[in-house]
Amino acid sequence: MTHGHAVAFEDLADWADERLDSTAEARVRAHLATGCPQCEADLAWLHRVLGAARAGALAEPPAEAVAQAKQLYRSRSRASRLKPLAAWPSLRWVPAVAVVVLVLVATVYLTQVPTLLAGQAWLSEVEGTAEARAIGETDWHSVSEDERFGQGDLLRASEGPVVLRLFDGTRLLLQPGAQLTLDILRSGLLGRSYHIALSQQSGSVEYDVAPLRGSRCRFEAQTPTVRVAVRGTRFVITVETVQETRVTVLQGSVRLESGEQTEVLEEREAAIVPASAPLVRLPTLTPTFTPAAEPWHTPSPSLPPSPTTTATPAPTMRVERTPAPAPVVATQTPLPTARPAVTATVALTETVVVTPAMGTDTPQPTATMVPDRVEFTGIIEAFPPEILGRWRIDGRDVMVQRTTRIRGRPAVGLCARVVCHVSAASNVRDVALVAVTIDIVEPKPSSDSRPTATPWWGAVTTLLPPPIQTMLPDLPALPDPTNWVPPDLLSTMVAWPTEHPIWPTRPARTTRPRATAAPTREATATEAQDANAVAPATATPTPARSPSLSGG
Amino acid sequence: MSHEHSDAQLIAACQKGQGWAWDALVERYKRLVYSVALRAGLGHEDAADAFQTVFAVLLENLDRLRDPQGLAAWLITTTKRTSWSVRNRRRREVASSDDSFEAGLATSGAPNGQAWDEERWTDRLLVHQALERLGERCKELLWMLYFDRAEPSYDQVSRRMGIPLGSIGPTRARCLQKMRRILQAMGMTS
Repeated sequence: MTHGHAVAFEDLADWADERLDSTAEARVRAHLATGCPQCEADLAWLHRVLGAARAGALAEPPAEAVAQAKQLYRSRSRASRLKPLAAWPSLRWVPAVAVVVLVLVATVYLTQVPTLLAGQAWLSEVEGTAEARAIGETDWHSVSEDERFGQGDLLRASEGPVVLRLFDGTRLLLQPGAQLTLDILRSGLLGRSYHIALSQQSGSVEYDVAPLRGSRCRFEAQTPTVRVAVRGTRFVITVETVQETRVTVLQGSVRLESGEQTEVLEEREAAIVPASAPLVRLPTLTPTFTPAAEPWHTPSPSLPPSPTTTATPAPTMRVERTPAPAPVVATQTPLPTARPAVTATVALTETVVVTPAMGTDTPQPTATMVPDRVEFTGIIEAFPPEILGRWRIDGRDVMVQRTTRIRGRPAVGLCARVVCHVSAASNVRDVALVAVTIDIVEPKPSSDSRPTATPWWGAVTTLLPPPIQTMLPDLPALPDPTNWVPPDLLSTMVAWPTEHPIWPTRPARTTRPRATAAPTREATATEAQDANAVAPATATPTPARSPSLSGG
Repeated sequence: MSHEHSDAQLIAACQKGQGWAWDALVERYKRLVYSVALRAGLGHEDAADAFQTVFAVLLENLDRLRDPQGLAAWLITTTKRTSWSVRNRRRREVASSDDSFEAGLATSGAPNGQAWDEERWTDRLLVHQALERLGERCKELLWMLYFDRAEPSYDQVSRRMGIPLGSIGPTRARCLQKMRRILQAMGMTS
């Protein structure tokens, strides 16, 4: 190749190889000196390529190494081809997979059946009359024991309590007048999750809810004013009216939801939930109870002995005395009306053993009556004119029954020493404290009373009829109440001058010696009826402990 | 056949599962990789190990090569790193028992600026590849003139090739021009 001038590409190659003679070399050098760009580019390329060539031939790798390098690709391709094949099971596994699926389906179905059957409720005991109404029906019909109910059924009790059991183990004690609806009785797979929702329209029902089996289990009770969510506990709901519900927790805790308000009630706490007002916590006494020496049986003091409980030949009610421990001090929670906290002295004095009149053949340790007997002293804040019924003493609701012994003439503002059961399932509607004895006392000023303060009982005693002074039993004096009775309560007491009943005056009655150690319930009730549940107005000083309580 | 395909085409064919393309890539770069490994001071056995490693790495990274045109440079760099790794491993294995190994390594393949110039390695590779694409006579002539370490004289070339002595120069010029066109087609810039 020539460039149109005297120096050809061959000459440049010879120049690069230093093979030109002197004449040709001079000619090429002279031409290159002119700066011919084409020749310079050709010469640069020659130097680059020939330099690379003269650097030596590239070494030939071993054939084995080359073959292995080529094999790498085929090995990877084979592996990548096997991957999708491995992802698909062979057809010969299809029957086995089908069998496994069938077994799983059958297992799930069979294990689900019990839970489907369990989504029911049934009556285990009926002492009075129970009526039910199915979904869509308008007429109530009587039901008997072992009758089963399903979701949506309504049930009500009259003339006696009724025990309803749910598939999860929950036990409901419906007091006469109670009515509830089984809104939801739903059980999930294998029974590990379920949802139970009940609506209580009226009356008092004690819920002994079985511990929930997991976080996916729910138990809810709904009243016209509050929704109660529990996780295994024992509590009493009383629907006073459609405008008010009272909840008393006996064990565990519950969560109350009323409107936007949510409260948690702990054990031995109670609250009233109005329909259009904030929830009101009731004063709570939290004494330390003496452990029971015997297992406590399911009581129902108001029920006649059940013929089904012949396995227990003991009397229907037996009262025993246990050594009284030292008084313990419990704290009373303040009332929402800013009432200052009051420290009360609670003496644990006696233990009650009640033979189950209603329940299983084998006495159950889950007592519906708390075995402890609580004694406290406080101000009578209110009581019904007919005496029987709910009293309010020292901020607590105390039920006075025909069996209650009252010594002295009660009056609002007077001080009373109360011995009562802590009832869990009494036939009393919603009161956890059932009075055994109420001693009306007139506190006397103690030696350390403040001289500058006007004793509160001075104002009260002016409102009392004269005989009251003669009825006072010989009880130890209370500490100066001006130290612990709030002023607002004092003013309240003064504002109720005439609400106490006209107290019947009866001749003094001596204490009857008991022939038997354990009075029967009927005897006590008869006595109470005869005496109108009231001790004689001019009773002789009675011992601190009623003979009826000292049974043994 | 592989000479007709660029690196990008061969890589694409490899990604499609065509094994011949991988074989072509190995054939195209086997001398380069092996020579770089030897130049790094490795013995033939270690160079063969490095050779395997480099192509294994290439196979793993075929899908991630962003610039197939720079495959030669990528192979040179990878081979150098692999070779140094093999050297270091070998040094740790042997150094404790043979102190003279250090000195041997220092003189055998220590990289210097020129020897490890990737462009020169690429030129060598391209020139060799271009030589392979030449016709037999051109290939033989240029091999004897420029690649043969024995550096035969023109008389010897004339006798071996069976061509007149005066025809060697013009024939060489034509063969170089052919190689130049091939190299330009392979991407070598002037």
